[in-house]
Amino acid sequence: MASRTITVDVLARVEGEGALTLVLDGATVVEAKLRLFEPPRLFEAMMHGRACTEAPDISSRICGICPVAYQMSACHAIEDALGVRVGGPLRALRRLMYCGEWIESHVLHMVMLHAPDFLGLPDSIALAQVHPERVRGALAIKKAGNAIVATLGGREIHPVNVRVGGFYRAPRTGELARLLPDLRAALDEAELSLDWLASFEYPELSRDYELVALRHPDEYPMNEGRLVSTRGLDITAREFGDHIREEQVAYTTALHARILARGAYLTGPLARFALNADRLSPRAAAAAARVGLDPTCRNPFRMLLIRGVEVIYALDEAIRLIEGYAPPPAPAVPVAMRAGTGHAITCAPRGILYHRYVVGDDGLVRDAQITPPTSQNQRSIEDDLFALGPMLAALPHDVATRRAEHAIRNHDPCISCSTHFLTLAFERR
Amino acid sequence: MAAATIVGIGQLAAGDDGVGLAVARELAARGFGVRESADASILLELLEAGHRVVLVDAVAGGGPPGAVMQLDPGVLGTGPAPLSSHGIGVAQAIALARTLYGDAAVARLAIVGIAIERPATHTVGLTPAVAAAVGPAAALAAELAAG
Repeated sequence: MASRTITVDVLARVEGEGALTLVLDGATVVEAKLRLFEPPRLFEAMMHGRACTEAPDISSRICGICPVAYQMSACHAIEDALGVRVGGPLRALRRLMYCGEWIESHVLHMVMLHAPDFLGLPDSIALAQVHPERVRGALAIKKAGNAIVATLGGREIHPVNVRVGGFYRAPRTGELARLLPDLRAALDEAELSLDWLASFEYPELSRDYELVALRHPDEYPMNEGRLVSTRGLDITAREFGDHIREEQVAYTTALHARILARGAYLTGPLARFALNADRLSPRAAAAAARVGLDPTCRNPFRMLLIRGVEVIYALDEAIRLIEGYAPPPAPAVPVAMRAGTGHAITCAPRGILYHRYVVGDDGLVRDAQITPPTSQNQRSIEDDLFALGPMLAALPHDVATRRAEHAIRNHDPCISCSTHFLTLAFERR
Repeated sequence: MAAATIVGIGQLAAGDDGVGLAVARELAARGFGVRESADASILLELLEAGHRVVLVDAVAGGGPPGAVMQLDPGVLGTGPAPLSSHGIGVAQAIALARTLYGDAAVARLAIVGIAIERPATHTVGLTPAVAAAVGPAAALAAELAAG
């Protein structure tokens, strides 16, 4: 069998910019290079010398799709450095805000960006022609998620209401209660959406990943927990750097992360579900069982279904949090400056997001480290492509190219949050 | 006729790509109903609900940086836009709105474009030529919003 190269200069339908080179020698992938252009490193430099209380706002600009994750990891890490504890209703509000981001980010990816891959359709426009009711449903679910973020964050992107210690303003009970009808309708819609996704054909692939996720004593993880893995990792956020290292790789601006003792690992929905399925709400657990998911799943293509289950969970959890909400006595706890180093890991929709800050006694940031989920997953994404070699070799070139892109999109890579401009096409007459 | 909702799209950390948001914030300060978004899926929500919308976004390849133009939603390409793949794009959202809600929904949309050379990555702030276009773009968007 001849040697051939699959090249994708610009990956569509992933968050940001990226490119792929895949070289096949017969049925064997001999080279898989995913090139990512990733901005967090420059934001680390931007933090130096800024007040540590500015870190949540600065870091939220890294991503227009998952700003809440960046704000949350920054808040928790700065609070760790300053010895601040946020509990009660303020903690619940943070979790609610994270639910909103999971809902909008997951639904956008599942239906608008990834479902077309499974159906052999070029994009969501073609999907809307074939399944308009599912696209309408997805947009309604996403709107319910957006409304949570806009209500708590003060606006829909780059939320401005989050601060170290809590919020600038806590919502009134009625403001949150107004969200409930749309959230309840979205929950029913999310069940329909999951059943539809379960009707797709899923390529066969089982990978021997080390799966890494947060684990909390009694919650499906979002804002806190220990970092655990399927191979025995069990550490606090403070120990992250002792076990996980990032390395420069020549062909990409993103760093590759690896577990020092063992190498590549995978974070994200597959890992969260494998390590925390027993923490799902009864409704989400029932949905997972209905579509045949169990924690032994190691097929990255089936992550689409896990996202579907996590949307149901996030809607269910958001409703629970709103129904139990009583406004806090103050919108934030007091924050006093002191020197220290703080660490935090929270669960972005795509996987764990680690932040570390060194704060001086003047309250200014001396050093910052931001390790986003996509750089942690990059090596495993490339390993997926190696594992797909025989499948790709048996497919015509254009189908193989689409399948390789499909495999990358399994991980919903948030490559950057760089650009959003229009391309003009003029028809000349 | 009710005033249209202004929608600013862009990315603050991508230099001139943030101009749509800058115009939206200028109009918000003047009392207009404004929404901001990192991707164009917000258009679908507003058009489905029957709103008139004035969208403000940066445009690559539309003339010298800072040129302000009104664009016809019908002439935007629907192919994958180079570099831009964040969520769904404007052209894609318009095509989706047409598919899901019909031509009448798209007829309620006006677009103000501000030409930029290229979105700088990892830069907050506008270049002088594009910053100078915020006022004229806001004026055009306000006129279109008033109907």
